[in-house]
Amino acid sequence: MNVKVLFRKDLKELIVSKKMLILLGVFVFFALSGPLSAKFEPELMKAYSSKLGPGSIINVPAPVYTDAYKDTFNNLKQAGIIVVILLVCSTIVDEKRNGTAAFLLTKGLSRSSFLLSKIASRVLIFTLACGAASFVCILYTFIIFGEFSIPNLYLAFLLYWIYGVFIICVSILVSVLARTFTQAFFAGFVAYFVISLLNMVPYLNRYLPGRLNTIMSDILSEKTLPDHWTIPLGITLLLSILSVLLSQRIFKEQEL
Amino acid sequence: MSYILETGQLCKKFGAFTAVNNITVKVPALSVYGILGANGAGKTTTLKMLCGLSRPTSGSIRIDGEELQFGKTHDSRLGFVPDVPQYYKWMKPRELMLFVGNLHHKQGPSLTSRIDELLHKVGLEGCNQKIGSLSRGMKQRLGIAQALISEPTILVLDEPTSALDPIGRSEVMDLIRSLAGELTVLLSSHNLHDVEEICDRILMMDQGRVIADDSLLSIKSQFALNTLELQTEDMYLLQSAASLLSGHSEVLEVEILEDKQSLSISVVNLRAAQIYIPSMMSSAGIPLSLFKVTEPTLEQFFLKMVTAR
Repeated sequence: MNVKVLFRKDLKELIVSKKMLILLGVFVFFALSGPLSAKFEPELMKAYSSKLGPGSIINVPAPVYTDAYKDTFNNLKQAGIIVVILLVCSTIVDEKRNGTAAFLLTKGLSRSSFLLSKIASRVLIFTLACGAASFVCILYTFIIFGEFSIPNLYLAFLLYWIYGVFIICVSILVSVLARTFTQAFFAGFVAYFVISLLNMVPYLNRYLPGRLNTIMSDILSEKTLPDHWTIPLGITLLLSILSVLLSQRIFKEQEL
Repeated sequence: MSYILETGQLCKKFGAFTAVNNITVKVPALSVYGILGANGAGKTTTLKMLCGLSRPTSGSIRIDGEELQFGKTHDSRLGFVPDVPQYYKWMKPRELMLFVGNLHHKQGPSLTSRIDELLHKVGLEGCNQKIGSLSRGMKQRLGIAQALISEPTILVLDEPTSALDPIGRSEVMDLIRSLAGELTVLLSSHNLHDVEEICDRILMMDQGRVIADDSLLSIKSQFALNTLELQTEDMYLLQSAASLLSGHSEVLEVEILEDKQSLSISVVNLRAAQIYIPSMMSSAGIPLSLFKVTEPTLEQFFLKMVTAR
């Protein structure tokens, strides 16, 4: 069966439903607001301290260009990922409830192809959003600060992309399991909460996907890469693949 | 007779509830086969199993001699239209048809002409609206058109007229009627009139079981009502005829149908009654303006079968 046809349809649907525009808009907004807030936050703080009255002193260090990346990544890691969950967790459950999944699957399309097309289209728009955000963030940081280069900056963006792909795969799994959009939405956030919570467990957190966020922060603080940083990376990729396989397995057994 | 679709002891349970109970059916090729039953009789579950959308608890399904497995559909051989077809609202009918055609590896001028032909057939050739703004009847007709793109051998329609107004219903019924002889049509309905109008073979279901599976003609002949209808010129003559017939030993029941100004007569032997009743009327000097055997309706048969269970 022609998976390419379905993939093209899924992409077009993401454009028509404005999901792609929303994701791009949010990511580019964060990429612009990061350098801006890094530049002007100290001045705002100074202005605020002068209003506190005599004797009130707030010491704010002078902004540096790495702060722009830190602010951008902080927004992308939290609000950006929440937007991704919101946009992805309804993917399968919507098609099941609308009856469009049954419509497609009676055309001889395999359930695996159906699922893979959904994942691939979501990963593609996430990649575009990440690419646009990276470009805008680097360019705007350079315009504002006159500097932009950090060792391993590309790696920070890559790690964020891998973390985002992992979140997409988990959201798809949740969407396969859920029966309603509310269930999917709720379960998606529970999954995100659990992933974030596990990152606080000592020792174990060194090997989990949440560790990628810490590595990103280290890169942006120009610290050296931690030892064995590839282990959480490998585990995240493995968990992403397992999520896809599990989604596939469950979806194959589901009645529509 | 060749059978395009066969089920053997097909069964579907949801926990302790049996939705479909040991259904064995043979659908002849090129027939218009109606699955009839009240809501909850198991019609939709049966169709979903036939389309590979629901896994049978036990039993087998064969399409064109080939065993159907859950999760695998017979790509181009089976076209399915659900009761309330839902397609991508942002697409236009032609766009949907093109998408479905491409899914079936069809493209180029042959696909374009097939789309033109089908949209013309369902009366949507000039429709440039988005699917989201189409009426239910138009969506149902579009559903049939998209299901025919792959030139299937079986068209499965789940309650095709249930959500339609009289005009939409009439259009869809005409469309289904026009497909008879071109391919096998399998449709489910709780509307006895629809089934009676277009199906040449009927499967009646009640509480997941088959209560009848035969041709419409055979079902009707099996269920002879032994009822006749008689009309005279006026009510006075009708009452005289009623009292005359009430005394006959072979007449079981006489009822005056005031709205039709006629008599409904139940008799022991239909053939004999066709001879002695006109003779009695003639002797009594009662002229008949109408005398006919009342044809049993599918509704009467269905109610009798369900009540008997």
